[in-house]
Amino acid sequence: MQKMRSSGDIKEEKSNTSNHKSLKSRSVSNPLIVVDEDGNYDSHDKLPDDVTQGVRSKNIKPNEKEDKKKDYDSSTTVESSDIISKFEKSEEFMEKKNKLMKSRQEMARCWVMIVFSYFVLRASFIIYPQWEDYEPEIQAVIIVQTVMQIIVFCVTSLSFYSEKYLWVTKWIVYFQSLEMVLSNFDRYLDY
Amino acid sequence: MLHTVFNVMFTIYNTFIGNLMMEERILMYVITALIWLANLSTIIYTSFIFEDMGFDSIISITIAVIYITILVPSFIFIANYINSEHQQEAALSFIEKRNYK
Repeated sequence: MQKMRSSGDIKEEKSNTSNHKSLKSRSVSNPLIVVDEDGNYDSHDKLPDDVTQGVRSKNIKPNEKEDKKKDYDSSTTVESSDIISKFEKSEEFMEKKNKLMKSRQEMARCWVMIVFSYFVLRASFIIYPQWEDYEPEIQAVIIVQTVMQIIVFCVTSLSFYSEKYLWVTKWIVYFQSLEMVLSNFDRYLDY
Repeated sequence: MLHTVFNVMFTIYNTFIGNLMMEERILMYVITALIWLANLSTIIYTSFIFEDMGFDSIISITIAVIYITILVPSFIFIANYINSEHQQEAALSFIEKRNYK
């Protein structure tokens, strides 16, 4: 099969290789983009044709580059929701999107534990030492807060134990915000 | 007073991080609006004695309510804008990647 390749195809491969090499110096921080050890982007993605129409650079002659640039520029003016909805057809893009979401969830669970540590310190040194001075309504609020934070701690610990429960983190973050709302009722205890 | 600062900061961070992970936009709007309205309502409720209100207190609450209605949608809009921009950037990087093949 290789003997049947035309000279045009070989030139095309060379030009593609040079394009890959030019990418080596590019720094890619976005987790949605996967770059291999040599600095090359992987080529296993399967995108619908309408997404990449006008942006492929195969067999581009020098005079055609301007036209291709125009096509690329026009493709960038499409609304983001349109672009993303088209990309959702691509399995690889969705896989990378899930990877991005996972990294955000891992960051969020660490944040939740930091906020939990703030509650523990404040409860230990400020709230519970003055327990008998509080009105019954404030005591009820503090008990509810404590229960909510225990739930937060248990569920977050569960997500640390098994990544199967990592998705719960996004709800725990909002749940902890609600606990912060309740803590407004005991804020005058600080002075 | 000191706790209020931390309380508001934690609420901002938590809702922002939550919005980054939430894919259902309507749900994101509803939850963020509820949390922020509840938060600011409790701050107003615990800061004023409603039985003994002067003119300054009424003006202060009125200004707070007006700016709550501006700030909450703005916060949601900004969080959503950052999230959308990040996704759009990723999508365009993906197109650019195809351009080099």
